[in-house]
Amino acid sequence: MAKNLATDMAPPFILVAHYFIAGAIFYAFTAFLLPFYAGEVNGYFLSSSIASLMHLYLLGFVMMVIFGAMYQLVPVVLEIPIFSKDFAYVQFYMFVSGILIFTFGLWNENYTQILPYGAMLMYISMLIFVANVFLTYRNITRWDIVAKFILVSNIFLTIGVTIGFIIALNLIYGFYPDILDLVQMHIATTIFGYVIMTIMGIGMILLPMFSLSHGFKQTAIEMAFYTIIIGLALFLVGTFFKLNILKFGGVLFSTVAIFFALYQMYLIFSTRIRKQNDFWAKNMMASFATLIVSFFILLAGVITKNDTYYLLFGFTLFFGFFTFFVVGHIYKILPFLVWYQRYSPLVGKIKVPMLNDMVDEKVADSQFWITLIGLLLAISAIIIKIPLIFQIGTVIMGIGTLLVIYNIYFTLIYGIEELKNYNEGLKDGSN
Amino acid sequence: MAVTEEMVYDAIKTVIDPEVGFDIYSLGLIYGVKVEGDHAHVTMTLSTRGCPLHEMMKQWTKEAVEKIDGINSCEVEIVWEPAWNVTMASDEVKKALGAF
Repeated sequence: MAKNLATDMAPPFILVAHYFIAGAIFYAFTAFLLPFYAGEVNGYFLSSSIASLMHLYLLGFVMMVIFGAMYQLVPVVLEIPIFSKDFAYVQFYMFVSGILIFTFGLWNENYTQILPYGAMLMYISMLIFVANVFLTYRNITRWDIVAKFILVSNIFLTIGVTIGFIIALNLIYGFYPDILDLVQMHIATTIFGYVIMTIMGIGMILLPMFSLSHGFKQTAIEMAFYTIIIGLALFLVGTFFKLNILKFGGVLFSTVAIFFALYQMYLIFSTRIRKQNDFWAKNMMASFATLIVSFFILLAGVITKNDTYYLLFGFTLFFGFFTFFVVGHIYKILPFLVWYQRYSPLVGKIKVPMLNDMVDEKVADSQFWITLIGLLLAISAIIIKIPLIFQIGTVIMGIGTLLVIYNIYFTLIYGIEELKNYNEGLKDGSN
Repeated sequence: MAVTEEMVYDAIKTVIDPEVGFDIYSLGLIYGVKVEGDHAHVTMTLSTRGCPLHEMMKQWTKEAVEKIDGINSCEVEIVWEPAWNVTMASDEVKKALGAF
């Protein structure tokens, strides 16, 4: 008998919920801190306080939700069970403690007594995650493009977090003089090698599934897969050996890869059957639009060598592309998890809700527009260097975050009372 | 009374895809039904390969058919060829999805 992929193989709901709820808390925490960074719009983009906030957001929100989603999706997509569910719990607690200690150490500029312990905890937790993924791959039989993306992105994650840990040690012992080179390699491997490659890979499952797209070719995403590997490899070798021509080639190939992936997403959207621009579709459109914009900003930075563009690039990529992509999918994945846990045993017995019923659509729609307006204001503030506007923009973005949290709560408690009554009815025989 | 294919289709119409909000028959996911005595065989597909609802849809279909008086067992076979597309769905579904 075929295994029930979503249950027998994937970790239980409560495990994935750990990651999603922690992600939401870190998202709220970052949103709260962001307005206090208004003064940084005039500053240097590599300050430790910015690095602290960026790590808090990327690790605590973006990667936290990705890890949770991967535990749910990997067994379904690869048709094999996760190697160890226990690993996933251990990873979670080490990861959360690591983030808190590490970002506090970074913010406090305490590079020797606090930061290394957080870095070590995070490094081990990431190694547990990649080990779990690699060991899962031992039994794989279906090698499609998604499987290849997940595997290679985890190889880059291993390299990226190892470089990150070397940076942490280097802050104490100072054995490698060019720390900026290490930082660049760390950013390339973790953000482009892991986060963006993972989004490209799982996007090939999630986007057609939620938009009901069919009949599109996959050539563009296959091209993106190979060009991003070449790009990142060239960038790493070029940076390490200080060969600028290779580094430039790496940036070029990686940029081409992103545009191949964007073209693939366009093909998926152009063949979608679900034409309604609901909150998910709007979030996806905004995420890809901000990704395109961020690359033009990066290009401007490379040409003009002006630090403001790098700050702007990071801000647009993180709070635009990543936010819209992750939030859009929280609205889809979390209701499924709750629905599965709460309602799937009752199918055929009571009237069960649709997944969309488990999201407050009006709030989700308002949240999208509020976040977009706040983001545009904050981006404008960085360009014109006016801290007050940045503060207003990020406070508006914070309101958007609160609405996301409200919807997460809405989904988590959905139907609890009704099901309690149903179960009581079963006990006293009225149902 | 012998169970007819129509009766099996009617049972299948009670199975709803919670993501799309339509029953799987109207979505065009059912490719065929055969009834031999007290055994039914349903051939169906899913709108996306890698869908987390894969096994549940299969199970719900089996359970819905096995509720019919006169059916003792139902085998549900998931196939990927021909791949599903919206032309297989009912006009009502196409209209609701905005495919018209």
